[in-house]
Amino acid sequence: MTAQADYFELFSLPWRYEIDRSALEAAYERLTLAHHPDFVATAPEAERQEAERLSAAVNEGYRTLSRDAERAAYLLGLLAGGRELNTTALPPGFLQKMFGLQEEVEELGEVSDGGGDGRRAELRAEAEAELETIQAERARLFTQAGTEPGQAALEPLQAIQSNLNCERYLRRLLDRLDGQRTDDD
Amino acid sequence: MENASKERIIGIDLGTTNSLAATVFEHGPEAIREEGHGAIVPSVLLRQDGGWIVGDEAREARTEAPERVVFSVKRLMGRDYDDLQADLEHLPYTIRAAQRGLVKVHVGEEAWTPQELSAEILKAVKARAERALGESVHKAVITVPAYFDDGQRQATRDAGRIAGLEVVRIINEPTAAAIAYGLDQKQSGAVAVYDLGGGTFDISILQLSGGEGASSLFKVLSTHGDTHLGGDDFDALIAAELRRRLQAAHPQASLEGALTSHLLRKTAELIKIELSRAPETPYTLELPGQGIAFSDTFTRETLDALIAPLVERTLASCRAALKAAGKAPADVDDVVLVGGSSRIPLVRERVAALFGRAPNVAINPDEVVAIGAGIQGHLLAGGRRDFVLLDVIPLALGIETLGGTFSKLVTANSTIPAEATELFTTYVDNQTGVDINIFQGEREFVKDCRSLGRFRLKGIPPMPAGLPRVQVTFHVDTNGILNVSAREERSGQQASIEVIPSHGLTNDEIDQIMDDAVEHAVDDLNERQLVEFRNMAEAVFRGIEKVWDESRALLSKPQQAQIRQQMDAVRERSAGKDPVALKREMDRLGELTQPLADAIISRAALTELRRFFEETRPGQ
Repeated sequence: MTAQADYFELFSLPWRYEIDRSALEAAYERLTLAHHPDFVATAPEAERQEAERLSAAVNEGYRTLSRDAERAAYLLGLLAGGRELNTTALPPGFLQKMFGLQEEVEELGEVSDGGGDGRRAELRAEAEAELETIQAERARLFTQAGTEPGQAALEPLQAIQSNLNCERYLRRLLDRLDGQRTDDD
Repeated sequence: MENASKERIIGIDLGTTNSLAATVFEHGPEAIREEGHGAIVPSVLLRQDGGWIVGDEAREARTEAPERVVFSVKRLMGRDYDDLQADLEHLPYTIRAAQRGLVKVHVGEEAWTPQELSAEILKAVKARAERALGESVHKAVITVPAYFDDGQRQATRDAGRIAGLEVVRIINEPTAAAIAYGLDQKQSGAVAVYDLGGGTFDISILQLSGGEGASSLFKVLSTHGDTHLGGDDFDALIAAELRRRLQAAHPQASLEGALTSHLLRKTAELIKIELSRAPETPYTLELPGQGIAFSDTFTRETLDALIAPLVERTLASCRAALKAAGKAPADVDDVVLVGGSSRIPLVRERVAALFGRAPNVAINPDEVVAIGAGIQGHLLAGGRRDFVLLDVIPLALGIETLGGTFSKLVTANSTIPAEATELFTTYVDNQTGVDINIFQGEREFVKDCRSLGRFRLKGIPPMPAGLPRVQVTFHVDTNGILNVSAREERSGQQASIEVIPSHGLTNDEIDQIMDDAVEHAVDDLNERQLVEFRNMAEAVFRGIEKVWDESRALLSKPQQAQIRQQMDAVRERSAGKDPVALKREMDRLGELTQPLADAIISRAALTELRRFFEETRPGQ
């Protein structure tokens, strides 16, 4: 296992967006027990450092693979195989729509004493529904793109990248709504 | 122990109020007790005859010789003088600012760092363990509140070193409790550990798994807390109420002075403990010097009303931890109470209400943390392999980027060890060093986060600006402590790193750091400002170039020429060594480009919108 090892390989999983959760959990447990620094605590410095490094990679790999958006971004990078994707591209009309939602969230932020809570809940539901649509779409796009490293056509990959960009915008919007709720507490 | 050749690693719970050690005996894990003393060493120090007395005797001396007694040292660990303003009024001993924002405790003519004082407590715990075990002890696992930041962890490790202990591991108190509990009760599922001690509060949500296999996994999903909330604060509230009552009954009484404060605090503590058993308790305050003896009754109702806001704060932390773990209260299979203050009826009531279940109080809340640390020590010593502990970093770690923004590299609740890498480059030709400011916290701007220190990359090969690619690796180790290393990618050269921590020290380290700092102080400041202003200038230039072609038509020819001229002036100063002159030219450039900025305001609005939505690190 090298620092550059691909996480799917490390966890003995195929290059797929859809993932076998129980296989991921089992592999994480196996790798943790094999590499955790606690088992070499009294070993020489070099060995401890190596365990720290490997264990950190296992943790990072687990985190990446267990979160849908992170796993998608990671797999996308592998499939693109060094080819550049436009990391700011968005589907037509999306930014304008976000602009509208964003403005409304900002305005709600200035309303105090629990006013606007109802509208906030509506906005939240709207954003969550949109997020679900985007996530379902992503699984379909990955199937289209195939799983051959460096072979996949660029067009579906770019579509996945745009799809991930959309999720980022929506997450920020949801965080912002959450933040307003916390501020009101 | 199973293997006599393995050296024993004891577990130490270094508490705000009490400390103790535990280890795994042949019959199982247990607190280390000395005949006639028990296990607990009060974390209280008494200065006497040029030395320290730690424990019960020091605690007793609080009322007779308050000017020589120091307690609650844990509250000072790894903190700046500025951080401690709220504590200063409650702590009767003298705390003064020392070099680099550090603090020292003054007794008589002498002064000590919190690390040195904690080391004295550790020495007392170690000595007691050695007498009880009949063997010398060199290694320990020391526990800290889960919500301790990097500086507080380092301070604890340094205290261990000063006490002559090899600190094999720093582990989190609630996690230690979970180990002891999980192995004892063979529980699996989601467990919440609510740890309310003398000075700190933690909540950790864990997933305990395994049981059937060879090893269990203790996986912390999230943690939250408050490093300044505990029984001490309850005592202070009760003491303030006592003071109010006493003053009302005896308006002429003088209640100033350390002696009275100690009397009030001690009575407050007794009232608090008694009210965990009884709904009300009588008490008497005597000031013999003033001929005052005041008797009254304190009810649990009054206590509850006083502490309710603080208890609510712990519940807010619980909700935050649950949210971060992706759990609802009903998903939690068991709630374990740890820490002496968790005995308070209101606390138990409120925790039970939040989680919808009676908390587990089967374990001794005073000893369970040390016992867990003792078990972890046993594992680290190679005595067992039947579990592994996966803990998390409590607060995000990151660096300062342009405009004072906090850019998170390792997010809160990441499993440790955790690692992140980041590429840095230079802003001026042949620049051989880059300064990186490291912060820890959850806010958006570094001014609201805690500074961990400044890292200076040195020995970058001279190259044109922007060409070097320095890969910096931030590694948070199993102790939750940050380590940084760097490599220049193009040359493959290992860049060296100079660490200037904001907190944390050993005697040797601080001497060295101080010598260094004095030598470079003036240079450092100028250089740092220069680098900052140069970066700003580069950013402004990039901004101007970006919009120049399409927007310059909005300006008159002379205006355009003026801007170009002023950009040259900035460049000239940027190559120089005077940060003040550079800033002056930049301000002038800002004035000249104002019309340009106004003209492209609609574009700026769009950029602003994008920035709002973009995560700090796009594409990851």
